[in-house]
Formats: sequence, structure tokens, C-alpha cells
Amino acid sequence: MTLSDVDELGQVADALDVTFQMDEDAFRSFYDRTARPVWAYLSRTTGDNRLADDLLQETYYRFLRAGGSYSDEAHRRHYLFRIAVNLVRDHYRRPRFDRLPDTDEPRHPTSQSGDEAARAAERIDLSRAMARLKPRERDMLWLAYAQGSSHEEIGVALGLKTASIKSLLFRARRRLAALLGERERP
Amino acid sequence: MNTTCDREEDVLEAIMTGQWPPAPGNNVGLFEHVDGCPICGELATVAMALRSERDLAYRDAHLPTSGQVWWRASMRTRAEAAATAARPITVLQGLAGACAAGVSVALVTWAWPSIERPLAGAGDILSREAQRLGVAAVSAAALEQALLSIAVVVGAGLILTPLVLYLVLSDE
Repeated sequence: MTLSDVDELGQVADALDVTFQMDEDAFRSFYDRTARPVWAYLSRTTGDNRLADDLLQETYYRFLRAGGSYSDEAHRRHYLFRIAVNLVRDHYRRPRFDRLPDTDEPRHPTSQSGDEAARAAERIDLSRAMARLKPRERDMLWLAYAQGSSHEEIGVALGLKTASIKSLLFRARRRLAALLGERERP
Repeated sequence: MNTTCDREEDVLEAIMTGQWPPAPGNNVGLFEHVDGCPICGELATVAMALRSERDLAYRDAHLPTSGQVWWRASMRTRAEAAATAARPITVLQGLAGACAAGVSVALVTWAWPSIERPLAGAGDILSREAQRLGVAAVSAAALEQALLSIAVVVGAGLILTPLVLYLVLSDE
């Protein structure tokens, strides 16, 4: 192999055509429908908006690269959430709900109206309570009650049997309710 | 322990559709039920908290456009494809370097007698000339050693310079 052959191979590699199974228009439409719930999940389960931004890009990148065949829109969405769930597990194994998620809201209840202060306090309570849950419990509760996912959808996203979701969800819910109750008590 | 309630679905639906807590006079039966049912009470507490957190998250989200996400994914895929394609080239370059070094060592070993003789002769001549000219006595062996070092450096330079030049220029 001569040096010019080596150069030529490099140019071939550079000119490789990038193709995903999904075309750009279909992707744009799918992204517009799903990005907000995915970002909300990433943001609230990691407690870090910047990390959520990065993981959002990574989620869609992996989704595009995987190029799986999906029976319908719901199947595609579940697969997307499964990628997001796995990314959170991989990148952020330790619970980080000890920090408040970044928001545009002021952080100091004293400078807020009564309702706003109460809402901010509730958010702090929720963040702290969520931090004390297991990652799987957080995922499950978020998918069930924030996203409104069915047991089957949660099972697909988390890689769990649908039959076990009901009892797991019940236990997680009870735990979170108890933690929220602790906070409410003086 | 009872873990389910028949009215869970109704409570969840009311929360998910934004009808919870109910307006005065609406859904009174369900409201009273939730008040007295620990299972539905927990459900309402948790679901309401998470649902409002979701609404805030939706409001906070500053998402990149779909075009940006597509473009970044395309660029990254292209870069990874180029890196994958270049991997065998890098391996070949390493192999070529190792082969060149091996061949050089073999050549030097094979040609050693024919290098050593002229060097020894040159050393003798230079030593005699130095003595004749009255320069401080220089041994033939030391001169031979010096000439040998020069020969090795020149040889290594001849072999390695093209390789180094290629590697430096190919990075650019």
C-alpha cells in the first residue's frame, strides 16, 4: 500500500454518505412530538437541565443510529424512552435530586407571593423526596404520573414485565407519598 | 393489605385531564372518596405533584430544533464512520513502521562486515594523518567509533525522515 493509497482511503472514509433509516422530515415530525416529554423526563430524573440537554441529543442520536423497525408510533415512542432511561442509568447512577432543577423561577420564597412560595416549597419537597427513591422507582413514577404512560408502556421503557409493574408502582407511590407526608408534617 | 381501589382510574383520569382538584360542585363523590380512601389519597398526592412538576418542566424546556438535532447526529455519524474507516489505515501505518525498522536492523546486521572494514580503514588513515600533522594522538579505534556513530545517525535519518514527514503532513 502506497502513501497515496492511504490518502485515498481517508478521502473515501470522509465522503461516506450518512443515512438513517428514518428520513429527515419524518424525524422532525417525530422529534416535535416527543422532545418535550423526553426532556422533561431527563431533566427531572437527573435534576440537571444541562445534563438533560446533552442526554436529549444523545437519545435521538442513538435512536437514529439504531434504525429499528417499529410497528407503530407508540412502539417507536417506547423505544425512544427506553434509550433515555438507559442513558440516565448509565450517565447518572447516583441520585441527584438533592439539587433543585434549574428553572427560571426565583429560588427564594421570601421574594414571592404566597402561592408562588408555597409552590416553590412543594417543589423542594418533591425534589428531596424523589432523591430518596431508587432510580427505578423514580422512573416508574415519572412515567406513570407525569407522562401518563400505561403499565405496558412502562414495562417496555424500563425493561420490566408488565405484570410486575402494578405492585412495584404501588410500592413506589406509597413510598413517595410517605416522604411527601413527612415533609408536610411540622 | 389492599393495594388497589376501583376508583383509582377515575382519580388518575381527573388529574391527567386537569380536572383535579375539582371545581366546587363538580365530582363531589370522587372528591369525598379520595378524602376517605388511603390508596386514592396517595395516588392523588403523588400524581398531582408529578403532574405539576411535568408542567413546569415543559415550560422550562429550551429545546434545540429538530434540524439542529438531525444535523448534529449526521455530523457525528459521519465522523464516526470516517474514524472507523481510518482505523485499518492506522494499523497499517504502524505495521509499515515496524517493518521498516525490522528491515533496517536486518540490513545493518547483514551489511555489518562491509561497513566495518571501510570504517576501520578510514579510522587508521585519519589516525596516521593526525599523528603526521602533529595533532594530539588520536587512536584509530576512537575514530572508528565516531565514524560508526555518524553512519548510524545518517542511516536512521534516511529511513525515518520520510516516515516522520508523512505522519506530520498527513495530520494537517
